[in-house]
Amino acid sequence: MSASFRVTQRSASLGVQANLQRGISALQALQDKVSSGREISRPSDSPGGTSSALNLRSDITRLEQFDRNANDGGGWLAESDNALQGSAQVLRRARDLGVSAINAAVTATGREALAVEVDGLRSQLLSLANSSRLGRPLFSGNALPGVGQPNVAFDATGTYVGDAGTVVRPVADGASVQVNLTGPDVFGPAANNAFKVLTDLAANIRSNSPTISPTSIDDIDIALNRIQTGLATVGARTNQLEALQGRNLISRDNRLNSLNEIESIDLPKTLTDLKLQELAYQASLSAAARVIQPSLLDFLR
Amino acid sequence: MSDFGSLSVGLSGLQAHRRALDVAGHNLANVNSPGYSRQRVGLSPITEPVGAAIFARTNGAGLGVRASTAYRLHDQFTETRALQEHGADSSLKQAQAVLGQIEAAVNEPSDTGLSSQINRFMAAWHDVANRPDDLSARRQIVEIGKTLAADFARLDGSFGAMSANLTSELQAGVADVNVTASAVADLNTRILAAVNADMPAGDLMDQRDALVRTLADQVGVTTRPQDKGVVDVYLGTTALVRGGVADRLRVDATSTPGVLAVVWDRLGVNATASGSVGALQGSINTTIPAYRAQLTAVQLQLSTDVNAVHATGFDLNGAAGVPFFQVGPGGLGVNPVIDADPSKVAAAATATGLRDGSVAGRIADQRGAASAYNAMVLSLGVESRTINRQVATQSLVTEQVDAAREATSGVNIDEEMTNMIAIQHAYEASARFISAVDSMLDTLIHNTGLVGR
Repeated sequence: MSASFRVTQRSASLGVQANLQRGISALQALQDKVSSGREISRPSDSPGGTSSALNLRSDITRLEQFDRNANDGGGWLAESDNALQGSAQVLRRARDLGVSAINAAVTATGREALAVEVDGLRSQLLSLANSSRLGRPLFSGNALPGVGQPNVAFDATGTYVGDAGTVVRPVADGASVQVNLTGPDVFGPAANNAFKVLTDLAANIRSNSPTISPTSIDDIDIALNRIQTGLATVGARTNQLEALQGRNLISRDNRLNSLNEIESIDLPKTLTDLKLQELAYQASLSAAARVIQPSLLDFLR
Repeated sequence: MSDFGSLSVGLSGLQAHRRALDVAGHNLANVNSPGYSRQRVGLSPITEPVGAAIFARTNGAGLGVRASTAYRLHDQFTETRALQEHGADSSLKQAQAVLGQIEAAVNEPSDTGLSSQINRFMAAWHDVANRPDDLSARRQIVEIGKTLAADFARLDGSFGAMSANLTSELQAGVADVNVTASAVADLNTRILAAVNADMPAGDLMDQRDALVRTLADQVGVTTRPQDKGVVDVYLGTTALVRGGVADRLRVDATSTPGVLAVVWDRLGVNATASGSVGALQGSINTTIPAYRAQLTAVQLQLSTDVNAVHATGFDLNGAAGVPFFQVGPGGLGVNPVIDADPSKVAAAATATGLRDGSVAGRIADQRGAASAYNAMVLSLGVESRTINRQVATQSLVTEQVDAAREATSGVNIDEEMTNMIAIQHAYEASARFISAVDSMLDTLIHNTGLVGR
């Protein structure tokens, strides 16, 4: 209000009212911030901040989902690792049995016993190859068995019934990790897979020949080698997955921090502002009391 | 002048100052009446006839004082500016209130707003990608999709309800304008009659001006003062009140579908309303439809993005993906075929390896809808912030104008008290003059002719 105006009691009181109104609405805005703890409670509080907050929330949701994906992929890799370790043990035992059968002193009964054990190892290997996670065989690619078909990677004859599909888990923006190995990758191609090698070995042992063909042992070595390669792949992928997951967690924390900085109040600063505003409000109240009170009436008889 | 003529000079002083005292009392009584303009009595000397006439007897002393009809202190220019600023003020405040409502409905940024829902929906496709052969993950994406569609519908519905409320507010506002305008016309008639009869019309004019200010708040009017205190009120270039006749406005919702127009009742042509009615009209016809359109665009974008990728995939039965979303007149919805059988969610990239989830993974990467929605929230924030600033500036300007008006027309108690003192002294002096004349006459009547007694 410019000073050159003629001032009346009503204009003074209207001016005081307007100032008090501004003061108390500023006070209320600050009190809202302190009590809600939020700097931005509606888009107009800070349009740019709102936009950043929405983008950050979207990033955080994605990163958390990537984390879940990585956990799921980690599960796949861990179970693949288990199954492959088991398979390697089975093949090592089979190799031992094969080597001991080479000894000419083994009797026919002994050979039969060895052959029976090899048969047992084969079905153990088959069951390991059909290991599943959450109802899904680990080594069958993306194949979905038809209605009534067994839900396996290798059927009872040792034939691969899966496909060459890859299972990947996106674990960061633009980065995916393959978490599966297909049956042929680790148990060998159809013509000469680990199950056929064990079947052949058992037949060889039973065939009563004093010595068994060394090729059987070589075949086991080849199968074992494939499994070892598979284990190495699983290990490498696990490392990759964990590295990406760790990075994800760091960037999620960074974004949570940024979101906090944008959306939440700076408590000391807001409290100081609140105190200052309270002071200003009280000052204008007491000024109002002085401005409105006196008139000529107080001084006339 | 005759000796008794001097008494009437004293009497005119008593009468004029009684009148002035009454007006000062009236001013003091109305010190807090909004819209009251302080009044003054014009005092002027009664001069003797100056024209030479045969029997004219004049000694040049004058015949006393005359009090004119009380007039009000009032500045037409300030008044005109006050009308403009009040119209702009109420228009901005109305628009601000509507944007505030929209902001409250949108409720961002928060963990429960649509933005978070869209993010969650997109992320949930990863769960389908992780376990494409698991019907429960598919059921989940369908349910989240339905929730998302319902949230879109709820926000759109609250925009619709807002529009409906504002429409009835507009109807009430226009009805109010008609009542106020005819009251202004009625007061114009009474002011004309009072002025013609040389009666004081200041209080009537104050009443009329207060009503005109109400009209300015409601529809943003301008005034054109006419003779004898009458004021014509114009809306744009057309008269709303001319003298004692008021025109009527009405709301026309039928001429242009989807647009509410404020038209002249008689002619049916559009009236250029501003003020709160104009702002309501703008909110109903422009602001809310614009945000509804943006919301619809977000839904379309979501549906197009998801469906385009979904169509490249194959469902659990090896069939090509059907649209996941449908956009109908009721807004976004999950395809009922998929809702009935979640195995129809197309997650696999080939028809042979159906445990593949890469298509679901690609759907999760679609960010178009989220960024379109964020852009909408951003533009809402900017618009609302702009209008908040404008309201703050405009209310300062309006206060200034009110203060200027109050400076001209307001009552100052000290001033009136001082006037009262001056009036009282003048009254006492006139009374003293009468008693002086009285004692002169007394001397003349009772004490003449007594010489030598």
